[in-house]
Amino acid sequence: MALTDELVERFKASISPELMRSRWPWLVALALSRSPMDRPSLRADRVSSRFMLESTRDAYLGRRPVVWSSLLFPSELIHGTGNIAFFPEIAAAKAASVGLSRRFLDAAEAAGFSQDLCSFHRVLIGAATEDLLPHPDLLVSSSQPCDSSPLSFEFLADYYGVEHLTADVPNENSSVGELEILAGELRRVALALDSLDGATGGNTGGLEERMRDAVELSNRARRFALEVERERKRVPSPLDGWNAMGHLAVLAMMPGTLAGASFYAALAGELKDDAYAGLPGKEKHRLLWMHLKPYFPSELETFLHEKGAVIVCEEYNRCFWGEMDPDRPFDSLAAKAAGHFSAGTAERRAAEMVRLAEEYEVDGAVHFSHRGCRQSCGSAQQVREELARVGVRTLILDGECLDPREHRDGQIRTRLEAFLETLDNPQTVGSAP
Amino acid sequence: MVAGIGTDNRDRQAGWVCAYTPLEILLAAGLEPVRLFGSPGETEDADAALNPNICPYVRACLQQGLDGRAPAAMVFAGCCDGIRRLYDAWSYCCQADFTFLMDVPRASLGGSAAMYNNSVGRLASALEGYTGREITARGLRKAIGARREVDGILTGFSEAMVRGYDPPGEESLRIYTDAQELPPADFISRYSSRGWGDGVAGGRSNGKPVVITGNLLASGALLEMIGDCGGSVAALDLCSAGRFPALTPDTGEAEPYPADRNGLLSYLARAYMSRTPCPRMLESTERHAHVLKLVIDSGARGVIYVPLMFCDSFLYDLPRLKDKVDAAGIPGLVLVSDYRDDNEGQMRTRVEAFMEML
Repeated sequence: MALTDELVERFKASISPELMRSRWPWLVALALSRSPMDRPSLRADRVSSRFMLESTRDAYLGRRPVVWSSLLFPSELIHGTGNIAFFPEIAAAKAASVGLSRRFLDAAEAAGFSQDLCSFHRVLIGAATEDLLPHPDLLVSSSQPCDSSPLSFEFLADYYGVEHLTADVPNENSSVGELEILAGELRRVALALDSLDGATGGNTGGLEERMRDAVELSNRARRFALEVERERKRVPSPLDGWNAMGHLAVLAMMPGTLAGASFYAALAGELKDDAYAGLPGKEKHRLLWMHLKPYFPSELETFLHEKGAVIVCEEYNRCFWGEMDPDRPFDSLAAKAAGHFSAGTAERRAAEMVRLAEEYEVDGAVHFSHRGCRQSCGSAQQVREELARVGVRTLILDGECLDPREHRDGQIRTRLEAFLETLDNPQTVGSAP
Repeated sequence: MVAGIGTDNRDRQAGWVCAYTPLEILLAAGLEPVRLFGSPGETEDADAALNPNICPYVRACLQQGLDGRAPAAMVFAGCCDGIRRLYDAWSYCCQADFTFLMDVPRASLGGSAAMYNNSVGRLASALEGYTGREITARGLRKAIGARREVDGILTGFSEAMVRGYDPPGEESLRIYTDAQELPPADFISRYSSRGWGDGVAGGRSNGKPVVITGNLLASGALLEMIGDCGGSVAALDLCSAGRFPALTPDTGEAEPYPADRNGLLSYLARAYMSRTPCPRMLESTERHAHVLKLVIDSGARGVIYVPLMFCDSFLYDLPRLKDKVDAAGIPGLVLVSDYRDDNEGQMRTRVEAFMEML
């Protein structure tokens, strides 16, 4: 083992609750993020990295009340009430990216959680049982995209002895009345968030006024995010979707903050900048990527690059909601939550994927079927058939996002390679290996 | 042919798959509600249409639909990802005249209950459109009356089991299954005059009492096995058994529901939301207390947990429930079910060892 690898392994083994709650690792991490040693491929990533590091540091150090949120719960409510938003599913992906998921999966299984459950939630439960996550003051979740968030949060609320509030998001065929009910529920959650100690965050305005500010900031971020999406439709694509999937963290955590708007403004400016070099190599295949990706280290990213396969758009990493009315923040946020394709039927999801495939002019689609995800895997066939109707072939690729024990890099590469070969053959429209 | 479903009456039946489906509305619409228990055996077509990592009950139900052995109308209470995807696949692949997906919230109070109330109202309107028959207050009252009688019989049976009544395994499951497959009048005529003995808690003579908790059982094989191994089933805490009754049994006193149509629909929404909670509901304290009460009341010496494979609702709840039951000094056995009972040898070994340990 190389010396640096050994040092990394020793550091990972030394991670403890005390270490995470002391100031020095955060000082080091923030200093490194500002130093010339940290050179992200996109300058905009500096904005998001800094926001997330500072926010996570504040959560561990308990500087303000900490609210754990599921992926698609409207973050504007948490920022608007001045609390620290902590998204444990994103933290779980981060843990996997630095090789820690195995340890937390083992801890969750030792606590009685089945290996059949989603690994995002097993990792976060394992990390919680090792006391390696910042303690929550409240947990909030929504019923989309899947059952796992409200169910695992219920366990975690019990574990930490705090309240868990969940918003039931109606399916897309529901009536206006149901959206009004959801808006009322979000107001109820906002009041609970606002009652946490120190929740005003220095802003002395009333709840409505602070929510208005958060929604305006979210709108600003959205307008720049749409610019990013317009740029990404160019041929060849200016952005690599494998890495851009990391921006899902921004999309979930940062709407409602100034940093969120700054990130998308910086990214849009960067992609439009003539000096931006874009992606190296030739774009041979334009791919739509559905669900998520393996977050632990794997060779798949390099493999796709070598084959000239560029992920030009990702199912989850895009602005799924419309412009919001700051004067009606709760109605707007209810519409945002219900606007996600996962709040509804496979027909809705498939129609969204067809629209994306056409707008981004993809010539192939990959459905990464994360083993523990019933929501996504259960509609993969229907999505594939609908994409085939518009001439887009889909590979349904069984895999794992966070559990490296279940990952078969070789098998996945073989299947991807065969799929990419079929994209070269226009006679086999609609089929996939 | 799957019990209760025939080609002759397919058109007048409405299939359902989750206990949060308000059956009284289907009855008031002139339909016969029939629960799907799925095609037994292999589910290759359903596996291909869905995914092998989806709950085996869901796949078995889809297989039943793909085999053309399901009612023409289907109502799906969208209680979990599996059933929502079943609705999708059913709408896409099966020849159904009517499909409806209900919103089922996770909490029974506040806005969530209002959301379910709305969903119940939309179901009623959709069924009226499908059948061409108005759902009247009179029809609802009649349906509620019939269902209360069914639920009363089932509640009496469940209570008798807790007190010590110990029917053969298959028989104990049969009464619950009949309640979900037969028209209420047929069920009532079959069971209303049956007696369930006068057992006393802890006084059962023929086996060590155990409580079963889980989702559904594909058959009574496990229950028979428990009997063979020296056990006695004291309670079936399953959504297809002890947790199935939703309405307060008729006590002969004044009817607890209002007179008009909308009031009756709201009454049903409240009743279904306040039923003994399924693990999908965020009312785990109440659910755990319910299981512990069954254990205490029956004098059970052990709990057998039978979650369906890939059932997120149960699998996330299981560690906490088991911890609480363990803390009460009651040992447990977890038997994850593939809804096919095709691993009988292994299951028998584990049940035998558990019973010996008790």
